Amino acid sequence: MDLDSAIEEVRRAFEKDAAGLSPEQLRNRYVGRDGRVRELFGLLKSLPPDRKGSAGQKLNAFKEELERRVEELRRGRASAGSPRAVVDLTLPGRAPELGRLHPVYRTWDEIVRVFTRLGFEVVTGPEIETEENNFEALNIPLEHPSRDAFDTFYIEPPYLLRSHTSPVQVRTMKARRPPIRVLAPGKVFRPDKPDAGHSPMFHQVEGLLVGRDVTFAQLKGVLDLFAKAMWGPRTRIRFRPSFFPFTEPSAEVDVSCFICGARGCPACKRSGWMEILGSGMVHPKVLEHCGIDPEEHTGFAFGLGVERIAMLKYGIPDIRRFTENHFAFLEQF
Amino acid sequence: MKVPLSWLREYVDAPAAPEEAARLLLQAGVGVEAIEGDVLDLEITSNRADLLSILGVAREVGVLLGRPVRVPAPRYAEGARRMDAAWSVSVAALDLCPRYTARAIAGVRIGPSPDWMARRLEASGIRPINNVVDVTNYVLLESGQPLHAFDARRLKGGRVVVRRAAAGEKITALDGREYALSPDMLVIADAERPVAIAGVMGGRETEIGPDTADVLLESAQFDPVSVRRTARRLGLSTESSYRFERGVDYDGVEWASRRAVQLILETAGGAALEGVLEAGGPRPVRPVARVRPARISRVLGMEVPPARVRQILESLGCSVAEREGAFEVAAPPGRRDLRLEADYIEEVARVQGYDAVPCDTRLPQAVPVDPPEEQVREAARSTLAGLGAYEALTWSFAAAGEPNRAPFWTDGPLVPLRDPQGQVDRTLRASLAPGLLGVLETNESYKEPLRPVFEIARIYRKEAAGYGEKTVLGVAAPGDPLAVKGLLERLFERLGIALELRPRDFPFLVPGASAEVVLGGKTVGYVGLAAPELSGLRSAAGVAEIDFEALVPAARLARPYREFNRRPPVERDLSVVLSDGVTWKEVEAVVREAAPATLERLRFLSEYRGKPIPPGHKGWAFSMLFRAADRTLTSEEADAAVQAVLRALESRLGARLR
Repeated sequence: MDLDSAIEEVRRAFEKDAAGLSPEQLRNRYVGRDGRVRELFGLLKSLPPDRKGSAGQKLNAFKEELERRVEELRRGRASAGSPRAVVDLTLPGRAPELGRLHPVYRTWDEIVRVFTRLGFEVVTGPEIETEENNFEALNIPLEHPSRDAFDTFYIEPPYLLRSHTSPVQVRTMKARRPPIRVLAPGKVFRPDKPDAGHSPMFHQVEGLLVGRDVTFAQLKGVLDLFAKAMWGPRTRIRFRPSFFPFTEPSAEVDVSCFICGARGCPACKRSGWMEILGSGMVHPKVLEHCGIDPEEHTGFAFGLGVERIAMLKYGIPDIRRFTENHFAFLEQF
Repeated sequence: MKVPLSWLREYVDAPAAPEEAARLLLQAGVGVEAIEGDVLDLEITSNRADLLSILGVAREVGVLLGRPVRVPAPRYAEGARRMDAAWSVSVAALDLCPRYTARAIAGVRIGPSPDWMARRLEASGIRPINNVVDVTNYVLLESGQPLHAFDARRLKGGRVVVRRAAAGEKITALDGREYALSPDMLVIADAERPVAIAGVMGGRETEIGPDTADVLLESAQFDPVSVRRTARRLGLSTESSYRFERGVDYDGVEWASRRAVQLILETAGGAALEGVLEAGGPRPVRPVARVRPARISRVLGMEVPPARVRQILESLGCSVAEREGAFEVAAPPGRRDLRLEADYIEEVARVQGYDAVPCDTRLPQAVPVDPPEEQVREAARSTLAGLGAYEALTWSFAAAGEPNRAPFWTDGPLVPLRDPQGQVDRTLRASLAPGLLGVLETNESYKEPLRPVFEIARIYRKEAAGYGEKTVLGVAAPGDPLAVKGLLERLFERLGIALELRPRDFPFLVPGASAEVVLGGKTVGYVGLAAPELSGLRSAAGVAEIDFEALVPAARLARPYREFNRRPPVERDLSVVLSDGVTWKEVEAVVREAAPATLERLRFLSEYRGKPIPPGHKGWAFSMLFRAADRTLTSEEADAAVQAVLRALESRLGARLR
């Protein structure tokens, strides 16, 4: 084989390898101690003496050329007119794996963030509560049908697992003087049979504002701001009369469907509205019970379910996904 | 509550289109669960007992539309026989029965109801039985007042007594089941035995049957709490008990009784006895509330002119008198939910429409301070997620009878929970570890690549007085516990807390591979290799729990800046062979002692076992960084320091250079 075509063959092989091999590997394979160029020098032996000199020069020049190319590649620069990749960017990058925050707590964070921007302070309370704080102080008497909505896990009377976050209202109003402006996110429990929409353990966020001349109109104002901050400035709210023993007047609050833009979809049962919050003016009896004079101060309270919002936000069809902790679920958030 | 629109429209000109009627009611706070043809299925909140009837809904529609309501006037001819000649009625428990009335009809012919009545009952979800029973159900739906009809010939001694049950008394009810009664339950009895569970269900022995000729008709008011308790204790909820629990009206008793007699005469024939027997307490005085128009504006944040307030209240059927710039308002019959000024404020807002209330965003200010607990929680969660861990949400429950499987906070048994039936089928966890390891187990079974998981949540225990709970940070990670320890090291670094571990065995961790976490001299948690009792994983897993409440006050999220050394450091690695028993803690101590003060950082690099290192030994590589504050260190100085360290390791720990 003649030397020129042998050189050409090695050059082609080099450029082919240059795309995939590191400069270090290229150096070893081509210009190293046992490299392809060294093999070419082996060809010199078979040449007649008069040609050895020029062939040797040719080979040295080729070796320098390849060394130059390796050096260029090492510096991450392809020579001009040779735009070949020096790193295969189709390979996966190198970085630690992402961890994840649970979608329920992400949604919790989001709700809390909006209300803290509106000036609410986060407070917490125990999950093991007393009948007094969970019911009586909230104007839910024993043996009253209004308790039906609050089926409860008992430990032993008077201890129970709180069935809503409203006991935190009671604790806060007993401990502080108005103005009170707090947000109580937390875990609550009800002995519901688990199905797609029910879980015996879930989370609520409760808000409370008590002060002089706090009005129902302000309640509407705050929840309107919340809805717009949470789901966009075009979101509207709708107040409907309802009944909660601890508020009077009471209102169920619907939010214009943020899935379909209130045009009607399965998520809002084609009504354009989604039932999101319960709210109302703190019942005078509740204020009184907590040592606040209802003639001097008024207040409003509201509450919403975190799981429900998360399900709507991410389109999760079944509340039980949240507690399964399947990585294939968690890694999506 | 199912309301056929055609029936409703008999009393008020309600919208004929179901959707339109539904919209009207929804705006007034009456939810519509479903519309099936002509029938609206209404969701009635527990305060609005008055809406548990077609007439009640008609009154509401009348108020909302400003239209009159046509209430039927029950009229019928009475026979010559007198009630009081044939029967006596007495109430021996006035506290549980404020009003009891009885009327009688003689000579009825039992048969099917007329079609129109049967159809209405069916549309409302009640199965037609016979003309007399159907009338009682029809009037219950029409007026909300439950009624009961007895076969009069089966009542013994011509007496009806409303009394508490005697101990040991039993009754077979209309459902054919026998119920044991207790002395706190109210019954209707004849001269000999209970014939009905008051307000809940009648007895089988006196039920209206095909051969019934004479009927005794009960219309009464029973105590809501007593009916509710009895119904719950017996596990028996009926249309009747549902309404009594929510409260029926004193005055509604009489209307319903007369209406039923009228309809029985029309559908079953017979002759009404003259008069009515009545027992119970006096007619209650309706509470009067002082309603101040100024207060209404102050609470609602919206002006409602006093004249409009009065108009709304009167349209609801309230009696309204003006006195000293305020209204004195008494609720209409049936509106037991209207007692306080606040209740009337809601009525005004409701009838005016909640939409009419403006959105006001001028709020009284209070300076919110993010409490330290929230700041630390946020820092911990974002740090752990940033390190690749997944946040889990595990149950606060453990199965009943399960031991406390990772007792570091309490040795006591788990706190038992009772469901509304009083059953204990679950307890409250005392540790996050089983739940978090369970998450790894679940994912192992799904063949997911395992990753670290964490959660900040509560654990619970019984205390001397009451119960206690604690917020805990739990971490579990596949592999040996150094993975968990590494996460804790980074987390503590972020929180500005020194992580101090002391070797200690725990019954739920593999001995020799566990430690307690110490903070300020106190044990605040543990870290270690999960023992098989704690984990059903096929692979190894490390687990840790830390008292989060102890971290909060210790955390220093913002620390004062310290000027750093800008001189160039010299770094040297050293690789030595040590026998297995030597710990990193010992190596570290020797290195720090032997090295000059210029040793700034000592870092473990790697462990190697296998050829050519002899068995029972390991190769450890570590790196040392030297730097002086006042000069640039020479490499000779660094080399000398490395030699000193090596000599000390050789002589003190039997190390040799690799």
